[in-house]
Amino acid sequence: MRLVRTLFSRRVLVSCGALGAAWVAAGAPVYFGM
Amino acid sequence: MIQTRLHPLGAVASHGEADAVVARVFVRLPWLAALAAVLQLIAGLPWLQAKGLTSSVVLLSHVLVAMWFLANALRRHGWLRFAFAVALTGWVLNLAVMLPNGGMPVSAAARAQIGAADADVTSGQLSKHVALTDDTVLPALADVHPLRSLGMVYSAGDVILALGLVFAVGAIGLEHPASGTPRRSLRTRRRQLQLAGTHVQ
Repeated sequence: MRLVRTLFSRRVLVSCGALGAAWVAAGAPVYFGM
Repeated sequence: MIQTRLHPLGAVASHGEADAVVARVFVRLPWLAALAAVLQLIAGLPWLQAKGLTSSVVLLSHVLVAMWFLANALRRHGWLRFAFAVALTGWVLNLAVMLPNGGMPVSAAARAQIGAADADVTSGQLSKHVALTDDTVLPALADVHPLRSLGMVYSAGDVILALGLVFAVGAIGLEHPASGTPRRSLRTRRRQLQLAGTHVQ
């Protein structure tokens, strides 16, 4: 329960979201679909 | 009697300061990264391309993400700072090849290896890319590595950038105050700071 609370805390989610956004903004690999 | 205790750094701490210590294990200015990503995603919209604004929007996005990386690398500590320094290095490598070529060059050979030889890298959502030619500056840093299983072509900078971001997720997980052993030091610090406030006895 504690682990779930930790993983889904607002700060962790916001931080991971920001890191994902930075991945998109800083140059994710070019994707051509499958 | 009023008793004031000092925390280990020698300054009087309040509950607000304790919260600030905890907040330092998370990223700063997340909205800035989100804004940069949105700009990157809308850069390929047809009406922006028609107005010739794609390059400007992509450039603005890179300026914002650079500010975000720097703000986090300079104002964070330990593993999180290291992670942002690594990610920033990857971004610089990507930028080093994008700036002189007017976009990220994509290798036709790499595209062929993932079955996308006919794809046009200069239009639509891919419009921030250019085709890799003999005149490309720093071709080794371009998108030249095919990842067939995911239908992607990536660059050396992408790998280092991804490593940095993975390190950052790990650093946030390890330092999170509400979890187990590796995070205990931060929790202890927070308690120390809370105890170090002013008490009336």
